[in-house]
Amino acid sequence: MKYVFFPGCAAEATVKEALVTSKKLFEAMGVDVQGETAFSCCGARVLDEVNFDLNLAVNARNFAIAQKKGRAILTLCNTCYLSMQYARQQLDSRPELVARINAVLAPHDLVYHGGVVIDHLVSLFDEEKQRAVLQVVGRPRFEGQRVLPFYGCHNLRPHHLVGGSRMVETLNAVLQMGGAQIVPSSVRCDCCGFHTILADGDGTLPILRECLDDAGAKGVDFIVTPCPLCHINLDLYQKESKTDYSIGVLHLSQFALAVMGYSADKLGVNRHLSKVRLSS
Amino acid sequence: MQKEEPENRFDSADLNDCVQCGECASVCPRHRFDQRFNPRKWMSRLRNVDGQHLLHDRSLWACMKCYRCADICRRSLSPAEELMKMRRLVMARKAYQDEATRHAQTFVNDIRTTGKLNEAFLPLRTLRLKLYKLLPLTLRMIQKGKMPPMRVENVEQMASLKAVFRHFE
Repeated sequence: MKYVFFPGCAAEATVKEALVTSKKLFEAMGVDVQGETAFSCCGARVLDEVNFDLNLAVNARNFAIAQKKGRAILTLCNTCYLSMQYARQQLDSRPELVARINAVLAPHDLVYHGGVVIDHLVSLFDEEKQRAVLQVVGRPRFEGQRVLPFYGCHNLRPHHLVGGSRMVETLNAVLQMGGAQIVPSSVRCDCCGFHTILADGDGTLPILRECLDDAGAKGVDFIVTPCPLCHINLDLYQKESKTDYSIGVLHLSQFALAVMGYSADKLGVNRHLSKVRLSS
Repeated sequence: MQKEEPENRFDSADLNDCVQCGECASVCPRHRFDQRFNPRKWMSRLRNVDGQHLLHDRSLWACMKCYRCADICRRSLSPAEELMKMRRLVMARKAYQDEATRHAQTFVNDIRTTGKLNEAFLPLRTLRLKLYKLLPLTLRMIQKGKMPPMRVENVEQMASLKAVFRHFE
């Protein structure tokens, strides 16, 4: 599959280590992916709280840009993934809106043909042969480590839009190849609360705290998440949550590179606010 | 300028399909911590089409968009989406201004201006004076070199994005 990369605003800013390590990962896995400087923000399911059709038009422009290159979109952010899948579903069922949008895009040599393909970074590991890159000689890096996979809501729900179960299987398989012992979260503790952390920190931090306390009480050594926004809450806001524990949080790309043998200093973990106890 | 009423019926979702079973409330993480936010009650109240009084209930913005409600609803409804429709009404009518509305408006403004979010200024624009709450975190971020860039470059092909905004905003 030929891809064009859609890192999302957070990975280009606050959690830049996710962007940098993802690019290293693509290289290591031989993924055919190009950058694209014309992509705008996906709207993050906030733009459509203000203007529904505007959000769809903004996404249609991004889709048209990808289709002009004849490539599928590859994103590493869960909310970008959901936002785009949602927009795709809406656009593909509203031809009259697409026609209006295309009329606006046409003078700029852009057109949305429908049926854009959008994949999340996790799916790069779907097939066993894709995971083979994680195979190492000798003991896996995370052998004996208790790891909690934090999938992130927007890769799981709504089920009909983002098709939850493969994400879970694939992420679990990646963690297992790293030698990690998977510790599942309680079913109640799977939302980090990112989407209200800024506007309503007081109401959200207790919910975040529950996620971290749950992991800590289970003796988890790391949390691994494919979502940069979950990473912001779990890592950046860990101290604010007043959790009793100190848990390192790794991006999926960092975890994968670590399994492949990259040293800690190449992973950008020094940018994290919560300590990551990783052997060099 | 928006051409249509904010409550676009983009799905065939009909609020009257809701049987008030309460499963949404039972799985909602926000509701578990704060009973003032109740998705089941919202689904009932939103049926009142002339919901002027609902516009001012700030629990509208408590939803974290985790979509557990949408997945569990046996009638294929999504309380999270229904709440978003009401938020669009609040924004369209400029019913009030607070952290939540400023957060949403900042997204629109940022995307219109440069195409991307300016994460460095997002807390300030959302919280204004209440930014003091994030001061310890901000200092730690500066220490670790984690502050996002203050300046965000325009995305390429900005003209097509501006055209989109001209026609649909």
